[in-house]
Amino acid sequence: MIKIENLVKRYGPLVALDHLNLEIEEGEIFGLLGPNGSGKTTAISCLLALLKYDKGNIEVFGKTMTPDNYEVKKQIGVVLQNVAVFDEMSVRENIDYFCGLYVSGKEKRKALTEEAIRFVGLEDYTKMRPRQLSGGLLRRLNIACGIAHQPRLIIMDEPTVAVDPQSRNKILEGIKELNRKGATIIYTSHYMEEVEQICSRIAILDHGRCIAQGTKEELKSMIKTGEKITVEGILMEEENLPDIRNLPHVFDVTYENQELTVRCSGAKHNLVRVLNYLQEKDIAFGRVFSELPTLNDVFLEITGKELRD
Amino acid sequence: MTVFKGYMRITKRLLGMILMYVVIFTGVTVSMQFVARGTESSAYRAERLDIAVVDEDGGALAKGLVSWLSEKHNVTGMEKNEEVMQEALYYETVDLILQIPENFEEKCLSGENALSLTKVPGTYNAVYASAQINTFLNQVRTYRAAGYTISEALEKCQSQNDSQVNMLADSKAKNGMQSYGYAFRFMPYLFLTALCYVLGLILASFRKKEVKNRMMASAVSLRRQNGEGILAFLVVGTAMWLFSILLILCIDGKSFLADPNKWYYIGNTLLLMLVCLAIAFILGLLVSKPSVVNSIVTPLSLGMCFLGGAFVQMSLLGENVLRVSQFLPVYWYEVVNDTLSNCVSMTDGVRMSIYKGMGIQLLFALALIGIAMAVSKMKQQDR
Repeated sequence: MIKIENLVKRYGPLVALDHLNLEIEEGEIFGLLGPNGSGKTTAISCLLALLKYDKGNIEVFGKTMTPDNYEVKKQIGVVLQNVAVFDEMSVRENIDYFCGLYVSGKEKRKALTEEAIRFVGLEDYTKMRPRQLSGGLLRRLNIACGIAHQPRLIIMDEPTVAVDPQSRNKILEGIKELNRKGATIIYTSHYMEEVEQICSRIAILDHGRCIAQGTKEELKSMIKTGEKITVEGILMEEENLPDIRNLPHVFDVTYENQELTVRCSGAKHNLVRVLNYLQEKDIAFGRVFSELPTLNDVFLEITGKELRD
Repeated sequence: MTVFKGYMRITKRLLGMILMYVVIFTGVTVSMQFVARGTESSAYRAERLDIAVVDEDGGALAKGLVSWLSEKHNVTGMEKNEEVMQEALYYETVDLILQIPENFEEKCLSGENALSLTKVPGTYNAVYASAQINTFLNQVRTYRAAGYTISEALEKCQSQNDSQVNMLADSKAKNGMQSYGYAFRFMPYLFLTALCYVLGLILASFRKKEVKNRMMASAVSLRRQNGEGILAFLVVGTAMWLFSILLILCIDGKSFLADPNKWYYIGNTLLLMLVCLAIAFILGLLVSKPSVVNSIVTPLSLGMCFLGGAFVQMSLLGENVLRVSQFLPVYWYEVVNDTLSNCVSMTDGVRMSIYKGMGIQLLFALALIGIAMAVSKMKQQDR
C-alpha cells in the first residue's frame, strides 16, 4: 500500500532522513517509533508531499506521491502532532470544514460530521470553541477533523502528546476501532508503550534511518535480552558477580546502589537459578522483578541509548 | 467552495469587530460634520451692534434712517448729554453713538456729511455701521434725484432690506466641505483598520502552520484554495465598500446624489478598497499570530491616515511630510477626494488631476498585489 524507497531529506548539513526504506501493508497499524528528532515527522511530511525531499521515491496506493496527486490525497486522513483547527469555529464547524475538503455532498458531509463527533465522544461539546476545550478534548477534535471523511489511510503524528492517561486510552481505543473498520494507520510516537499496545508492525527510527522493522515479537527476538531480572536492596560482595555471570543463559550482570540487574537470553527458570544462588550464599535481598524485554530494550541494545534520551 | 465558506464563517465571527470600527468611523464623521456646520453658520452671520441714536432733527429722513438701522442693529434712543454719552461708551453699554443734527435732511440731500459717529476707542465696529449708513443715504439721494419723494425713497430703500439673494456659487466653493466629503475623507481609516484587521486575522488563522499543513495535505488543490481565498477577500472588501457607500447615503444621501461628481467619489473609494485589500493580504501573509496583527494594524492605519491627509488637512502638513506622503496610496486618495470636494465645475484640468490620483492608486494596488504574490510564492518555496 505504501512504499518508501531510499528517502533522503536534508536540512542544510543535517540529514533528517538517511536512505529510509519502509513498506506498509493495507489494514495494518504501522508504528514509527523513535526519539525526538529521529525523523518521524519529516518522514510523515514527505509521505504527505508537504515537504520536498532530496532523493528517493514514495508510492501510495501504487501511485507516486506528488503534491498535486489529489486522487491519492482524497483517501488519506491526517492527524498532525499539533492541533490543527480554527479557533474561530465551533467543534462541529471545524469538523464539517475539514470534512468538506474531501467530501462535496452537503448531506453526506453532515452525516460524516455527526459520525465523527460520536466517534470521538464530543457530542456534548459541538457548539464550543476549541479554546473552551481541555487538552484531551482538543486532541479528540483534532482526530475527528482528520478522520471525518473516513479515509482509507490515516496518518497520525504523535496524537497523544500532552494528553492525560484517560483521554490517551480513549484515543488509542479509537485508533484500534478505526483499524477494525478497515483503515490502515501509520502511527508515530516516542511512547513505546503506546506503539507496543496498538501497532501490528513497527519501524524504529534513529537519526533518520530505520534501524529495525517488524512485529514487536520479531523486534524483541532481534536482541539478546530475553529476560531482565532486577533484585533491589541487596548487599553482596563484588566476587559474587562472576558466579552469577556464569549461571546458564546469563550474559550481563550489573551491581549498583544495592541493586542487581541480571540480563538473560530467552530461556526458562532464569529467575529460579538467580534466587537459588542468592539463598545458597546467604545473601539478603528485598524486592525482585522479572521483566520481558521492551521496545526500549530493543532500542537500547541496537543504539546504546534509551528511547527517551 | 469549502475554503470560501470557511473564510466567510470566520468573517461572521469577526462581525462584532467590524461593527466597532464602523461605529467609531461614523461617530468621527458625524461629529466632524457638526463641528463644520457650527463654524459655517457663525462665520456668515451678520453682526448686530448696540447703537445709541441722538436724534436732534426728528424729520422724516432721520426717522427713516433710525427705523432702517433698527432692523440691522439694536438701536436705542439717547438724550444729548455729554456725560451720559461718555459713560455709555466707557462702560461699553453701546458700541457706538449716532448723532443726527438739526436740518439733517437738508444737509444730507445737499451732499454734506452731517452725521456724527462716536465709537468705543480701539474698535472697528463704527466702520462697518458707517458703511451701511452711507449706503442707505446714497440710495435715498439717488431716489430723490430720480424724482421720488422722501417717503417714497425711504419705502424703496426699506423694501430692499427684505429682498433675498440666491447665491449661484456652489456651497463648497465657499469654505466648507459637504457632509459626505468628511465621510469620504475618513474612509481610508475605516478601510485600513477594518479590512486589515479582519482579513489579516482570517488569513493568519489559515496560515497557522498546522492548519496550513492540514489544508495542503487535503484533496483541494492549492490553486483552488488560493482562488477561493481571493474570492472571499473580494467579497468581504466589496461588502465593506458597499456598506460605506450606504453609510454615506444615510449620513447625507440627498446632497451626495445631487453631486455631479458622485461617480468619481465612488470610483475613488473602490480603488482605495483594492489597495487596502492588497495591504491586508500582505499583512496576513507575513503575520501568523492574531496578537501581532492587532499591534501592526493600529499604527499602520493611523500612520497612513495621518500622513496621507485623512485626519489632518494636507494644507496643514509640512512640505517634507507631504514629500513622504506621496509614497502612500492614502495620500493620492485624499488628493482626489479634496479635488472633488473643492471642485465647482469639472474642467479638463480637474478631470486630469482626478484621473492621475486614481491611476496612481491603481498602480499601488497592482504593485502591492504583485508583492503579495511574490511573498506567497517565496513562502511556499521555503518548504
